Amino acid sequence: MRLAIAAWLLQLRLLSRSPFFGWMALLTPLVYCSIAAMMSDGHASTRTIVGAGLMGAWSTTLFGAAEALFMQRYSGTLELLVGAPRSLVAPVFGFSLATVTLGVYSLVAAWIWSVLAFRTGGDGGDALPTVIAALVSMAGLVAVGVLLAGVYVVTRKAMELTNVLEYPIWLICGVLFPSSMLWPPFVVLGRLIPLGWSTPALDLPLGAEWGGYLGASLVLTAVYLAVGVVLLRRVDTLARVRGTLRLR
Amino acid sequence: MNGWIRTALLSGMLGYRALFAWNTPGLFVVSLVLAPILQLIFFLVLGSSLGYGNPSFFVVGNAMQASAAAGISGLVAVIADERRFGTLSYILGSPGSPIAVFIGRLIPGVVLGTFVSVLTGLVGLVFIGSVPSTGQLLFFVTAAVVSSLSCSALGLGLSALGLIHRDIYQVATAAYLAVLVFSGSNVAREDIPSAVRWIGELVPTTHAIDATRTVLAGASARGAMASLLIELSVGIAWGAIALLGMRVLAYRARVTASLELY
Repeated sequence: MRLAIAAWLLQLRLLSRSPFFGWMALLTPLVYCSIAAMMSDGHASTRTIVGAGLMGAWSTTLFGAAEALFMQRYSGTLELLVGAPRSLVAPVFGFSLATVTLGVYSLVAAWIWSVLAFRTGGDGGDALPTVIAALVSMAGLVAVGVLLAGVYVVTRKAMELTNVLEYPIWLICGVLFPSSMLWPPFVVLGRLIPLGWSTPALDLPLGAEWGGYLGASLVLTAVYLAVGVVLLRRVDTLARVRGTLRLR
Repeated sequence: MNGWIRTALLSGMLGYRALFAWNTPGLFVVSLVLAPILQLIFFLVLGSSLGYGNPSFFVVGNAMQASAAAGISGLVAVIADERRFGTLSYILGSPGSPIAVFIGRLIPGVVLGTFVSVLTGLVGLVFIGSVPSTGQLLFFVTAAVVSSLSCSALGLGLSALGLIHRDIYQVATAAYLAVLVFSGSNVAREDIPSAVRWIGELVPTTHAIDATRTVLAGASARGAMASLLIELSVGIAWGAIALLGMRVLAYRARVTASLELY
């Protein structure tokens, strides 16, 4: 736990000082929130604001998970991290938590932007179910980040892989629009990801259906975390056997 | 002059092979071909969910926007990667013209931008079941070439900042997103707040999108040609700014000896 917290704080400091991540966390929700609001006669609904914030959170998770280990590989410290007597799981969990924490900036930025630029902070009404759904979505992103990091340790193409994963997840998880708009096979694909279960809850009031979606998302989050931990342990061994960690 | 052109062509060819990830074709195809198509589908669904625009509106907008990815991000990455790999100082220190080297890098940007733009447009038109005439398709391809040229010129101008600034990826990201918002690729320009609508006049793809939408809606190509010429002028203006920026900032980079910083 101590190691995970240390990794979280260190990575959060590194990411907060990176203009690239700062801009991504702020600009992505601002741009997509603005486009959706301009398409809706200048009105940004709560769904649009939270959706745009989650888009930014996914981008920071995706690029952050890749960047963390890419930079470790690039600066030659990945070998030290893997070779250390402690498990790789705790630091990777901390890194992933840090990128999702940066995603909170995205949610706040989208809300402030909609108030400043479109004179609307959402639809009003009960915000509690939406806030809880957004938090569950963030928890799901941490788990996905851990799993992605495991993949990124063994591949040297992490940064390239991230470039193609941004839109597909926004699309199949119905982040900015209800996933019911999608072609059914896309919906099924989206349901393989925790975010694909938590975003439908953004459109629902507190209730059994809302709870069911979030419950499914939390179960899937736990599964992703478990698979991520197993993968990281396997990768830990594999990386030593292959001896490729020094390769860029 | 021949030497200058040879340097530009060689630089374009080598840059294309080494820095545009051509050596990993699978990755190249996925990032340059698949990503714009996914973006198009995303905006088609978003527009449909909000009851905004028609499918053809989004196909044209996102097809032209695809050239911005190759032109802006590609060109900026070329200089940023030269710095990352430690070869930027050799380019600026060599007796050959560094301007020729960087101008040469425009060529793959324009070729790839046009290719991706046309491909995204064709896939989109097939997807929505629209069958344009040969004349309309020819105009679409011409608009894609002009749009790619102006996007690459903007990319070159921004990449000049890479001579003095270490982290220019965020500049590329911001420029790409600015084009996405202000060009009217996904929102009709009359729906953009008037206080910021003028920005669209200065960014690439705006006029190419206008012209192509007009032609695909059934208007004559002759009438839309004026918009295409304005798009070309925007590209030429950005190209001039890029050349001037390269010259001034290359000098500044030598004076401050900051090229090896990463």
